[in-house]
Amino acid sequence: MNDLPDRLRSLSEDPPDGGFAAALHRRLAEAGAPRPLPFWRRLPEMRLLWPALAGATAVAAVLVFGVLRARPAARPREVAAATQLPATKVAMVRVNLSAEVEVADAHIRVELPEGLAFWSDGEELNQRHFEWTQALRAGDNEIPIAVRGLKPGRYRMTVSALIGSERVEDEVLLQVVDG
Amino acid sequence: MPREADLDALLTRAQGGDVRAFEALLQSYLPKVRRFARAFALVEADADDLAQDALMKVYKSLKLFRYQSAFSTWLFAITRNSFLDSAKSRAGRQRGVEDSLNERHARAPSEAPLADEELSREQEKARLWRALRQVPAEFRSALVLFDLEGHTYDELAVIEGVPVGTVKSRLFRGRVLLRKLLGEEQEASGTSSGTSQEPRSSKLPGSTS
Repeated sequence: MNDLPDRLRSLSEDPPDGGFAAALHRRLAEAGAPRPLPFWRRLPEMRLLWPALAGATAVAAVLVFGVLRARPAARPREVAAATQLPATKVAMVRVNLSAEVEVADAHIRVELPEGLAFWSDGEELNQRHFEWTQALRAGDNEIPIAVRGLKPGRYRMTVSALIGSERVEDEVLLQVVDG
Repeated sequence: MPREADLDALLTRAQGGDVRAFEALLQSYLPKVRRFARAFALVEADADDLAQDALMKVYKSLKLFRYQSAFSTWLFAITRNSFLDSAKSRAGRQRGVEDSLNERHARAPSEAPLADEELSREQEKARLWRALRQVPAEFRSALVLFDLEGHTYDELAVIEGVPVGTVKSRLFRGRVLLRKLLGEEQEASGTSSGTSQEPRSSKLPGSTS
């Protein structure tokens, strides 16, 4: 029985095509183009551009979700202090989804009020919210989001995660100031 | 296998939705993916469906490939996850099914008579596949990718997302289990039902499932 790897290697014969390639081709042709990158996957490039943004301010507002942790209610929890964000400058808000266990499909939604805008590839985006589905590993899952303050005021950025039937939501209080 | 420059060009075209470019990328990996699927299919006839489902996931996720590993490593990571998900979803059902290899052998004499030696080799392969399918999924995946397909420890560590030490442990434990299963099957030879089921317990130390 010491020859087990050799015996397994004997299984490595190529299977006859038997219509496999044609069937796959049909499915691929029907499927359309590959899925576009989710919003947050474009952020690493944005981070590389970060030093080029003169006067840009990094904001580290961290939210922690007890994903799958029993909570009495999934109500918004106000962050004690507002994070200050100079108007007309881009800031990075870091959202941390902290999960107790691995989650295969978490539906994430980030929403901005009027007065704040998402920022990507050097441009302000028109969308007021982004949502996507991703796996979460046990522990911290940091998602950096570039945000720009358009006019002074206090704003709430809402982040929610839907896992199965459980929904958790939290808010980051951002204060846009002159500057 | 395409040269690196060709690979980049094919990838760019495939990421843009060029199906022919994707097929060219896949060409050299198709037999490996189909064999890999065979180890996770409940019946032989399902293996190609399983392989195609996994390859569709690779295609749909193509824009997520960021050159952080070799394309082949990324491809096998996606297909492995697809097969493991499929194995998990079946694990609770515990339905026994006839292994169509037996049907194939039953048909074989009328289609193409097999010499005794060839028949014996085919039976040995059928026995190996049957036993392999009884090994818990994480160990099975490591055995197929390392022993059957010749991937390295480092490649497996990337594909499985675990340290090399865990890869070695999975291989060791997988081989022990497979030897045991082959021994049991040998003892029961002649009375084998030829059925294949997802193993009842595939939970591993440290796994979260």
